[in-house]
This record gives sequence, structure tokens and C-alpha cells, in this order.
Amino acid sequence: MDKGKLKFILLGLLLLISLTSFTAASSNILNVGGPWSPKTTDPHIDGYSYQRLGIIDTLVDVDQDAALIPGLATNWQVSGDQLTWTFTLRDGVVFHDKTPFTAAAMKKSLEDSLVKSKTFANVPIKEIKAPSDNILEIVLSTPFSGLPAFMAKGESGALSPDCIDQGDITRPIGTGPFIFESFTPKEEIRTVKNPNYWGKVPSVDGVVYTSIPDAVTRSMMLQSGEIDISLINPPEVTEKFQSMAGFTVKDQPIHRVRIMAYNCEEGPFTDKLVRQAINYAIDRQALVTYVMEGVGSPAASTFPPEFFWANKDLQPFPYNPDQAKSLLTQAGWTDSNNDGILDKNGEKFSITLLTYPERAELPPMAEVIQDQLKKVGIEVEIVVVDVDSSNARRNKGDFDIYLLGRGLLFTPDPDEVMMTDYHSSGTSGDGWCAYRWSNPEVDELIEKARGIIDPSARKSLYDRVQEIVVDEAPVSYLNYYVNQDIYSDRVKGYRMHPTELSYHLEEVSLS
Amino acid sequence: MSSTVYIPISDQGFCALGMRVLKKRPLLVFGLIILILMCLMAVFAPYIAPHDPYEQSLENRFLPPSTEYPLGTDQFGRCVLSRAIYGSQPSLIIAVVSTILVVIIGLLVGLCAGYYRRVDGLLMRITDIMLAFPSMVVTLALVGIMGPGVPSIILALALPGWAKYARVVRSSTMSIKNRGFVESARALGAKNRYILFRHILPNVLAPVMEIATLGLGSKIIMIAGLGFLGLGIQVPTPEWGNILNQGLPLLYKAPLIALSAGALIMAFVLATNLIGSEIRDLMDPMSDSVKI
Repeated sequence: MDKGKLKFILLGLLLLISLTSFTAASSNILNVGGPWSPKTTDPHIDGYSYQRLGIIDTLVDVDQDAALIPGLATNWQVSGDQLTWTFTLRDGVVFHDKTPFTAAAMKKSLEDSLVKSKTFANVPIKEIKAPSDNILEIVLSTPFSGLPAFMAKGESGALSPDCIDQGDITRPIGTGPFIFESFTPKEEIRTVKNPNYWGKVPSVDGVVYTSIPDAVTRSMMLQSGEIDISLINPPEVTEKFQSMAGFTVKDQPIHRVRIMAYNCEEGPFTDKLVRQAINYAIDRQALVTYVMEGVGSPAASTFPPEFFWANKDLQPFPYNPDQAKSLLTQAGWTDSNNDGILDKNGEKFSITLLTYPERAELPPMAEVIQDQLKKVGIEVEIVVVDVDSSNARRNKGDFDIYLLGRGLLFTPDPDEVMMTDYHSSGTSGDGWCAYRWSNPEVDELIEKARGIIDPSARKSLYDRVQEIVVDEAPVSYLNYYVNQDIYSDRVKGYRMHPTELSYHLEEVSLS
Repeated sequence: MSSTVYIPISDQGFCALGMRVLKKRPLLVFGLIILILMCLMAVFAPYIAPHDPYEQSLENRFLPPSTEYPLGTDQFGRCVLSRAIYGSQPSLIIAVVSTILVVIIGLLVGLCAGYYRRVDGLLMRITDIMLAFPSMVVTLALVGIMGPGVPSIILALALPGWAKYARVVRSSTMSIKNRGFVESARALGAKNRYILFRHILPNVLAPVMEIATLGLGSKIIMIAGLGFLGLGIQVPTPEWGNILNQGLPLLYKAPLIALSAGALIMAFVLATNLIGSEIRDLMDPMSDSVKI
């Protein structure tokens, strides 16, 4: 090697070392790193990031047990005909731009959201009225019990009237504990604290949320002090931090389930028998024990058992490859040429499993599933592409199995997930569960449940839906989530929310 | 490249040349030995590897090295050594095939441009366009469009790679075509094609060989890079890049997974770089070590 090259390499190394030694100066700014990045600055199109970061508030809040509690509304009730919901609004709340928060402002904000957001597609809102400064009435066309829960969603967040007049919102102005400062797509969101917040005023001066899709990079940034909290970590990362001084790993069971959704429109999974066979071919306990290092539990249905709406009679499928094989034989799949892979009418049972790396445990889980399916004679090709590309592929129907982590309580009411994931209007469109499966009885039950206020009467309908879905198997439930966040000892008072609706950063202080 | 000496190959005799190289050029021999061992490893992988590289046994995960598993097992209980050995197959096949492709395209374009003045301008402008693109970006874009897979990776590596060869071959061709032995062949009535392939081609091969060996090493790195980004060979097929990618989060827990693939990549690139730079020394008339 000649000297010039050597010098160049040494210079490069020096540069690298000096770069890595730059760590964030210890200020009172909280640095949070997570895998996601919002696609827009308009919370009425996509509100989850702005809600989690505390830029916007909603009428209704959700407590640690997923029950509804007062937010910007201090109480709410429904009229006798179940068509008018009346919300009493909190007094003395102002937007970040000093405009007072009134029923008229909230009406304007909600009407904007109804136009922009897909969230309300299935909510039968007829009219929104503001009879006085602190009374908001939402009039429905048909009774809908899930309405208050929808008022807890980010997309229904209160935005100032000036902000809505912008049209395409580039600077969300809410009422939350943090004020929006800047947004760089795929990079970061910056906020500063709102000293006039109606609730607990944040102790930190501001928050920088950085989008870091790769979990290992995130963990290294946490270790070097560039970020203070690393959200959503796979077990191989948390394991390292468990024993490391200066960091805390926090476990929180969340309302989220890992599932395999089948393409019921074309390919081998149009056959119900084949989908049922896969349920027996998957060793769910092995996935939890070996891929998740024991964090989480095998899933039986869409809702985890600690959640009120779960059908507790359902049990996770046992691992029974022989049963899987006999179901596959029944469906006409046999290994006629003895190559170890099943075939039917001369076609090999060769399928594509699509997943994304932002949830770092999914690709390794895919590999174990691939191996388990190979044992019953199914050849699986794994395709791992980033979450946006994989969603695009799924919407096009370019997959056989889609492995994903499905959030269940972004709206703290089962209706939303039931409508998007199991009602034919949801499964036929684009979305996390676009598997083009439908069942008339399920549709009817879900529609009926929407008009029932009494929770236990409603639950019996949802129990039946869960039963049908498990039997029809448009999806296989794999395991329930336990989220693992890691934070440095600088951070005090951080808690996670089981519904993932908030990071509660106003409660965090830095030492 | 302009200082390269052109010795008609037929004057020397390959065997005699080979023997002298062995004695006087230990680094070249060292590089060649590594390269040959690597190729043998790829070809005879099924006979050398102690286990099936695809065989998962989840209860045997993260085993430390033992006689059963010389480098231990990975997160799925697969043999790390077997995967590293099998990992050489896609890497070597893609590197060799794509290098042969770029050499062929580069030679054809370079010879034509250097020999026939009429097409020179056009061909060289196309070459300039290819050189203007950063090759990794072009490769990433091509793999992104065509999707991961052996043929698309080979194409994606070959398409941006040939321009460099075309440049070198062109300048060599231009200087050789006016030399005495070419002129005399022409005087004896040889056709253009005969002159190109019998007189010029053998003499431009030497510099091409040099950049091709160096290129082989950089291709291995590019393939591993693609595998690392998830755009290369897809799991569970072992390939050095994707082994490295999977091993990285586990570096703390099972360092041998990433290190096994990393060490093999390093050894291969070291070998090609040694051979390449030795060939360059041999070709350089200004170097003291030209006499072998």
C-alpha cells in the first residue's frame, strides 16, 4: 500500500473518531429515538405522532387500563335516543397561539378532520353543533357506542382555527403540553414546552424526536448519549442493556398482536383448509421462547386476554404438524414427486412471506416460520422491505402471507379494529389487513354491535366474531406484545402507555 | 496505464514465467493460494461443511464453539461455520460472473473505440456517461427496480462497471495499433479482425487482468454491502453480506457470526488486492522489481 493511501485512511479514521465523540450536550432537552416517522405535519391526516408527543390534546383521554377519562372535555353523555352526544369542554384552555379553546373552535377542528381523515370513515356523524362556548354536541345518523373512544384518537385532536385556515397544515397548533417547533420528514420532530399548559407543565424545556428505523443504530445512539429514550427494542438489544449500568429496560404489555394475514384473493390461501392447516403448523410457543426470548405470550385471538373485549374461551392453536399435514392432504396438496415440497395439479406450494424490518423482531420471526412451514412441505420465500414499500405491496395483493404487528387500541374501543380488519368494507380496501376476506355473518354482527351501548351485550357479539374469524382463519394470531423501551438514568418518570396513545413526556424530568 | 510494457505473450512461455513468479513473488503466491482455497471451499462446500446451513434447531441456539459446532451456532441454532462456508458460493459466483461480464463489455467497447476512429467519439461519450454515475448508486437503483436475486445483482454490478475497462483498453489499443508488429501484420495483408484478436487483444489483456482482479475484491464488498442492506441474496440462503447483517445486532452476544463472514470477506479482498498489486508491479517498467 502506498503512503498516500495510508494517509487517507488514517485521516478517515481520525474523522470518524472525532465524529463519534460528539455527544449531545447535557441540556434540558429530551432526545427520544423511535422507529417511526410521520408522513405529514397535518395531525388531521395522520395524528398518532403529534398525539404521542403531546402537541395536540383530544376531548377524551385514556388511562393506564384503557378506560376513557376526561381530556379537553370534562364529561360527556348520550341522549335518550342515543343520537346526540354532548361534551362539556374544559374552561381556561388556550391554543399555543393564545386563541381560546371553545366549542366553536373544536367544531371547526373536528369538521376539518372529518374531511381529511380516514379514521372517521365508519363513524356516522351527521352534524356537529356548538350551542355555547363550552358545550359541544355531536349528532349521529345512527346510534354508535364507540363515539367517545373515537374522540380520543389523534386525528380528532383540537387544532387552532388559524391553523385549520392554512388548509394543508404545516405547523400544527394544538393545546398540548408541547409546542410544535419543526419537522424534517424521515428525520426529526422538535418541540418546546408549553408553559401555559392546562395540565401538568412539562419539566423538560423541549423534546427532539428522532426517527431511527434500525434498532441497533438506535441502541448505539442511546449508549453514546445522543438519545435518552429508545422506543420499541427487539430482545437481542434489550438483553444487552438489562445488565448494563446506567440504563433501564421497561416492559409494558401493549394492546398489539403479531399476526400473519393471508392473501385470500389469490394463491393457495384462498382455500380455508390450507389457512387452518398453517395454524397447526406454527409452533407459537417456540416463537415466543426463542425469537422473543420469552417476552410476550402465544395469541389466541385478536385481543389479549387481559383486555375486556377478548373472547376468553378461545385458546391458542397447539403445535401439531401432523394435523397440518392431514388438513393439507385433505385440501389436495400432496408431495407427488417426493422433493419435500407439496404440490397440487403440478404446481409447487411455494409462497411469499412479506414483512418489514422497522419492527426488528419480525424478520427473524419470519425465518423461524419459514423453517416451521418447510417441515410440513411448504416452501417460503421471505421478502423484507421497509414498512412503506411492504404496505404498498400488500395493498396491491403482491404477497401470500403478510407478517405484521397489529395495533388494536389506537381507538380505545374495539369497533375500529373490527371495522378495518374483519368487516368486508375494511378487508376489501387498503389497510393493514387488506386480505380480501369477508363473511356476511361477521359483517352483520359488527354492524349490530355499533348501536349497542351496553358493553356486555356488545361483547357477546364480538365474542362470536372472534370465534368465526379464528375458524375461518383469514389471519393467524401468533403472539401478544410486550413493548420494551430503554432509557438512560438521566430520564426520570418515564412511563409507557398500553394503548400507545401517548409517551407522557410532560411527566419526564432530566437529571 | 500508459507506462505499461507490451511484451508479445507468445515470446515468453507461460510455464517458465509461472515458475519464476513462484520463486520471486511470495506475496503473489500467497494471494493466489488464498484465492484458490476460497474457490475450492465454494465448490466443495457440501463436503467441507460440518452441517446443513439451513438446519434450524432452536433449542441449540447460541452454542459456544465445540467439536460439533466449530464456530458455535447462531440465533436459530444453525452452524456458523457451515453458513460461512456456504456463504462463499453466491458471493464468488456473482463476483466472477459479473467481472467476466464487465471485462467482455469493456474489451469490446475499448477495442472498437481504440481501433476504429469513427466510433471512438460515440463510444467514449457513452463511457463517460457511465463513469459519471457513482457505481454504488446505480447498483442500488438497479437492484431496487429489478428486485433482489442472483441475475439482477449480477446485472446491477456489471452495468456500471464496464466503463473503466473500456477506457483502459481503448488507450492501450491506440498505442499498440501503431507498433511495429501490428504494422508488419497489416503489411502482410492481415484483416482488421485478425489484427484485433490475434495481436492487440493478447497485449491489452495484462492491464485488464490487473484491474479485474482488484475489481473482483471490490465486487465481493459490493455484494456483501447489498446483502447487508437487505437487497442482496435473501435469507435464509447464506451469503457473507446477509450473515454480517444478521450477526451485527448479536455482536455482543455471539460475535463469531459476524466475525466469520467478516474474516472471509477480508481474506478474499486481501487476496485479490495482493494479486492485483503484484500484477501491477510486474507490468510497471519503472519498478525495480520488474525482473522476475
